[in-house]
Amino acid sequence: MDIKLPTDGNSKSPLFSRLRVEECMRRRAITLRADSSIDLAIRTFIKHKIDAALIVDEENLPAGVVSRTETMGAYYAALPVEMPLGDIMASPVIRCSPGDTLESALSTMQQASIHRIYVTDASGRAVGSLSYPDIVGMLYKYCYNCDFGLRKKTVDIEDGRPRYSVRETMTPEITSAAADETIEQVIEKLSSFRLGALLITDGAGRPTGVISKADLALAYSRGIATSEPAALIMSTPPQLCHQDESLEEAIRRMILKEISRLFIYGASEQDVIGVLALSDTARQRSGSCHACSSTRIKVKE
Amino acid sequence: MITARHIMSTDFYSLSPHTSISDAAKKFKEASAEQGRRVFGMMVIDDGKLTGILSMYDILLFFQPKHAHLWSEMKDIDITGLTENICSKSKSIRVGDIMTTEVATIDSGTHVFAILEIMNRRHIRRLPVVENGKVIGIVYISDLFFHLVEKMI
Repeated sequence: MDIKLPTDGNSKSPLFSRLRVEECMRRRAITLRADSSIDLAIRTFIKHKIDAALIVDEENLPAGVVSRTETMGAYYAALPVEMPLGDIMASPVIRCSPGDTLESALSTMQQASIHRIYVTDASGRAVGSLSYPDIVGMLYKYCYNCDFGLRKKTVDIEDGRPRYSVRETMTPEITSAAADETIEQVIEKLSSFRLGALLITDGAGRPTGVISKADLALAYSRGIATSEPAALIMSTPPQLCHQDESLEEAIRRMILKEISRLFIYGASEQDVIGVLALSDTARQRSGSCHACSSTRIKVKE
Repeated sequence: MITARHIMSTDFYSLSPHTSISDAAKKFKEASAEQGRRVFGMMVIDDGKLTGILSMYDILLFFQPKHAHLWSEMKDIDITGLTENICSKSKSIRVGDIMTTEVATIDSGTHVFAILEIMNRRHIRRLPVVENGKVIGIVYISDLFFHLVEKMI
């Protein structure tokens, strides 16, 4: 997935070129050592509810990154969970400075096709990280304070500015796997389509569960073989949302359920037609209103 | 010479790594009631071997909402159901998934001042006492404290 700034004459979005990375970043980076095990990384992800850890050397300088994508690859390759993180980490670490504009950080993330960027100070040590959900939160603040925002009653919200619905923001395609397909096949689909989670369907094609990279990491840590069926490790029930639901409600549900994506249905809950990622919602700025579409960013899977 | 043997507790509670977090939380409550003191951490023992420690802090970390950093930005979002969601997750996540595995241990002959030094240096409040690979007791910081200050009072 990458983020593209609009190219239609609005490429210099005033909001993004004004905001600094330090205003939106998460001021804590969870670190591990290269000689720590894959298993420790997975348990750290679960415990701290994070998707990646920064690998640092003896001097606390960034050496690499291990995300759920790396642990998924290690699971697929059936590497022992005792293996050191140094063997699977991605490097070099893509970084930016606290004083950089959000626009330049986003463009670095886009060029490197990464979901998060580490923020380092003059000494080269990490002082925080910036990921798409952080940006969603920051954007939401602007919407919250905006006179056209849904919650402000000072301006009549029935002013002709339509609210965004899920339909406009979702990715209108769906890749799924059957519950009796193997975990190995699920990983193949996730990586070839570059997806964060896969919908699992039953024999009649009905949505029955979801397997995310988090579910895979847990299964790996618990020693479940990739030849086992998807049904064994999927999360149930799948989190679904109607296509006409407001984007704001969809964001709320994802935050509440601590998930990064919702599967979107049309005519009935059996008819899943798309997927909405929390990071996609950054594209609509805050999710409530067209008033600020001039500062939209495009997010592409 | 006063060593771990003299101050350790031998009637301790332990958890299995396969226990769910919600059952572990129940056990914290029971152990606190039965021991007459707050139990803040429990040893995790699998097949007689110490595999980790689960502390209240580990469970509290798990309770922290994933998007906690967004809450200050999203005051208007109705968060009813957040606790219920975490509680329902606590049934599928196990002790072994979130326990601390890098655990310092001592043996029954470890001197109280050595125990004091380890606890101070590593900021830990409990030390399992292991002998021949088996846990035979645990030294709580409160046991150490009351032993050391006994002569002061």
